[in-house]
Amino acid sequence: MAQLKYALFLGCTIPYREGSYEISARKVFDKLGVELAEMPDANCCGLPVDPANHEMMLALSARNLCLAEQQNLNILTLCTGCATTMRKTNRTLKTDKKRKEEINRILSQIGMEFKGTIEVKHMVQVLKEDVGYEKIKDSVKRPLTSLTVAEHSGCHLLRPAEYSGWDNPEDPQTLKDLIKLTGAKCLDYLDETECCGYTVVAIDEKVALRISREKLNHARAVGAQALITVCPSCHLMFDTNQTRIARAFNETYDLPVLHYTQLLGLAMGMSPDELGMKELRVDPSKLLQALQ
Amino acid sequence: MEVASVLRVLRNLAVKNGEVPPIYRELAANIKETGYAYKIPGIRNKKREEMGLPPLPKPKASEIAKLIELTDGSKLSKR
Repeated sequence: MAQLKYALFLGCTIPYREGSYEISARKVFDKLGVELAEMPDANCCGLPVDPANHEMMLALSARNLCLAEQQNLNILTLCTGCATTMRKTNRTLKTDKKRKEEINRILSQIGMEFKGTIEVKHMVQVLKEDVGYEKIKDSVKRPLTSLTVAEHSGCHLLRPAEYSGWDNPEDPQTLKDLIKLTGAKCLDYLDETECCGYTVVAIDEKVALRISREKLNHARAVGAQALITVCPSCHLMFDTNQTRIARAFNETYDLPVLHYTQLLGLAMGMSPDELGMKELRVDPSKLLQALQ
Repeated sequence: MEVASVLRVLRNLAVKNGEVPPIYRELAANIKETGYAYKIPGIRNKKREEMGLPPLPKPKASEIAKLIELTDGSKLSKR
């Protein structure tokens, strides 16, 4: 198999607040023999302004697609929001001739042209379709058999279904399968596919925290020792905001929230420090002790 | 047609009519100034260097501003 190589799209939330996701992803993909090229001129994917100005989102998103086309590489994103936004823009411009002409008229003003030569994939899709479960299984040196976790795939990994098609958004299995490859047990829990609350945090923080709290309660109720995420925004809600949720609702939580790439890295035999686990807000020490 | 797309169209119309939640102005202004939705502190690149990570992407501000202008976003991106 030829070596896999992608243009790594970081987006905004990861550089802003979720550095450990990037650190662990780079380590894990390197171990799997996947090369990640930088995108030194990339901008925001456009998702944050889509509710206000769809045209602006399309133009911003298309600029990133053009940059990857110039590198002749498919895009790999770590953020599910960036993935769904650029995947949707890519498909729209590939299939809607009129839209493509409109956006290309705009892009021509900055010397760019959308050609439609690349694909956009989230890292979960890359692990499933391109790297493959066999190779991931082979990379596991320290199976995490004593660990029982719950997963949160989030809203944007598979929705809208029209633009993904590689898993069922109403009953997603891929992340569960990827967790099982690490040796950890993955539990089912109530309302697994519900939102983390991030989408409304800037409009109504109380509603957002209430949504996150419900998810934490449901994961805790089935006995999960940790929650596993694949999106920086979902991680932010469950990890960074966990103490705020506890304070707001006068409750106690102690549920570590790991990026999937950290879980896989641990199973590959990497140390918690290598995987940026000191950056996590909810202390994973007890969890890590249980692994020893 | 997805429900989310219908809601997006309605939101876009509301913004055109001047009904803009402040957060969208802030996000658009940040993108125009830096290419990112959030203002990432300069110290972050220093920390990245210490951790052995490459520098963050630095999008050409003039190109981003042009895209915003051409998509009728100049008013939205004013603080």
